[in-house]
Amino acid sequence: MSEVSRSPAPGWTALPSREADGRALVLYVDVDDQSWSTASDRLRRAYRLLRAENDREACELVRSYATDLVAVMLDIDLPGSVLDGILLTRILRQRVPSQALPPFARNLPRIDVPILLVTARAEAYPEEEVRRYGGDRLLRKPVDIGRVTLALTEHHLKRR
Amino acid sequence: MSVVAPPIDVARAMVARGARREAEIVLRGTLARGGHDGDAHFALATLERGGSLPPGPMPRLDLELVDRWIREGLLVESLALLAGIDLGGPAEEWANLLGELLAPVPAHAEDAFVQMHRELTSGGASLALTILEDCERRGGMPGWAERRLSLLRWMLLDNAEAAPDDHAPQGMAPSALAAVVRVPLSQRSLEGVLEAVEEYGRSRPDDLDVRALLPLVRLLVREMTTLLQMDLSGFQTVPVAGRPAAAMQLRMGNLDGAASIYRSLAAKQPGDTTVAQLHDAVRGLQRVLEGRPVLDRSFAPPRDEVRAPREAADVGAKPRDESRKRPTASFEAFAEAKAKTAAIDFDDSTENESVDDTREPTRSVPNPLMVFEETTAVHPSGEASIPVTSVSIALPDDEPSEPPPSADALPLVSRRPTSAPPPAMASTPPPARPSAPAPAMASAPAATELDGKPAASRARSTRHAGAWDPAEVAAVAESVRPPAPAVEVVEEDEEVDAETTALPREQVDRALGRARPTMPFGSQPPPPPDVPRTEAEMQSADDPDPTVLAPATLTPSTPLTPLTPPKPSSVVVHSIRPIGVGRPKPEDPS
Repeated sequence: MSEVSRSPAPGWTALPSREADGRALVLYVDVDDQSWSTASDRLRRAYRLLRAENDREACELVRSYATDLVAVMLDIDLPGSVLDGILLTRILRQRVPSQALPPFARNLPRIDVPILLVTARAEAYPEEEVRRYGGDRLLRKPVDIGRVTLALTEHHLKRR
Repeated sequence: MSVVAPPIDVARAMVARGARREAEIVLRGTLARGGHDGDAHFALATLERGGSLPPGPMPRLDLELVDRWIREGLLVESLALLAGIDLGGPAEEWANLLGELLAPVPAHAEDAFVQMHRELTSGGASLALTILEDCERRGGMPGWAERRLSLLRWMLLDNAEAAPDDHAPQGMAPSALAAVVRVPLSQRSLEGVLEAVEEYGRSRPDDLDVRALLPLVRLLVREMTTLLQMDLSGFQTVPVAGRPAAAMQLRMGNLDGAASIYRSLAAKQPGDTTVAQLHDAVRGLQRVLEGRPVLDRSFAPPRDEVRAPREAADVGAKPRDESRKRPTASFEAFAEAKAKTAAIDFDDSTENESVDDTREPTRSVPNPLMVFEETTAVHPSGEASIPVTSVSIALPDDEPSEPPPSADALPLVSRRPTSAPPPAMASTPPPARPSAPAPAMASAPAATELDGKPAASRARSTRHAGAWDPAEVAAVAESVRPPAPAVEVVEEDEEVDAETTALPREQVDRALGRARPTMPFGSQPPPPPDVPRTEAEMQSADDPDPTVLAPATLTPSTPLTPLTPPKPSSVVVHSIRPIGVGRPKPEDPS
């Protein structure tokens, strides 16, 4: 491998806080605390994450921050929830009739921002299935900022 | 200077290493930058279909390639390459930094930041840096934007001393002035170039090159400073091309790129003196770096001479001399001929020839206001062909009072023959037409010769727009009236192309499907036929509808059978009657 010399990259003078500071807002739905902690640390340099631990919280946050979100990240497996990540994706894309939904998931605003599905078992879910249900990309845990941004950039490039 | 690997080749190499999805993003980013790259478009479509890219070069995928791509502004492609291929070393850190830099801006960010992000993802990294710097000057920039500004500066500018510079000249400086210019230029500081040249000029006040170079560098610095400090707050779409793009190239120290942009701008806008001056300034700086005089005195024309409109005979890169201004002998001959042909007399070509016999013979152009007359040929036999060049030009003798209606305009009943032929005539060959020319045709002046050829078929001149001479028409009709059912009069109110005129008239009519019923001119429409058409005749006809005239059955030689109203077809009536009601008794036929 050839040597490439670059001056040291600039670092944050102070890491951004977890409060609102103008960074892009991303809804992250995951039950696992370890996954949440890793994702929060890796993504917070460019994103501010809103965490939901189950489907009910996810629906509440969608109602509150629908216009502020730049992306939604859903864990496919949501133990303890009625809805899993795939079904939540279909609901957020409004592909499920309202009568078939639990009351807390009815009348949700339609989400047009990218929906990234994350899982620790990426090989168990074909990406074509994810796209068929309305998702944009399947990411393997733990997520990193480069792959998340690349998925969102691909979404923007496709829409041009 | 090594060539940066094309993204399509890199995508091919990435597919070979299993990074298919990331290779698609590389191609998508390439399309976002270029917009009309047919190869990238084809390759992306192929990958999306699940196909494989055509074989081609596969460059080595390493951090050096990523580094070059980043400095060229291929940020999306760089991130895709880093995400798809494990390159080791600082690759993960670079991917995180690129991910941070390219992350979407907040949903309600200012338009300038939205534009900045759009430029970042479409190859406009230099312009994105300009936008961020402008926002910084205005103040109040959020923390995430300040962070991206520092990242962008690091990626595009701050590594100038550490990373190899593609645009910096290599080797020994060819002159002292070139050595002075090189150092600040390699640091991508045009202001440093100006300071260095001014410092160098103080010690050599009589150096002509320094005195010539100083205004050029000042011009470039002023251009760069002005364009990069312009207010971007009102921008909806920041132009990536043009002078701002050239200014960004100057800021990056890429004189070749700036000269290329100015050259293309000067070609598009020949009257823009500012662009021409900027191009000359860049070229002067490049000449200094090459060890040549600032002003190329060997053939550089004065500024006003360059701005003069080019002459037709003065296009080229050769040095200008006075001999080129004088027209050559061939040019004089061409100009004289052109002046003569420009004065064509539309009325009389012979007058032109009589005025000057030495000049170039000109072709007679007919007066466009003249009414054309078309020659109508009446053929005594069916085998005679219609002359192709039978159109002559003549002034009309008199204006037509009222053109006679064409056969198509006549009512249906008027297309019937004058007398109902016997049924056997439908299958008999047509009666022979008179082989000898009619007296009226023989006495016609145009009948002796047409277009220099003996008149095998006699012709008569009539005006095109239905200007018939009634007496002549009557005489012709009388003379050509055949003994059997009717006389065919050929009408020329439709165009007959050259191919069909070579055929006998009957074949032409059949081919065109415009068979005309035969009816002599001046005759009254025939009375309605009194012979009823039988049902057997109706069934034998091609067209079951007796009210429609099929062209195939209306050849001039095929007379029509009289028409009778069609008999109503048998109707089956299903009737339902209540039970108990007796069926009416049929009447006794006796």
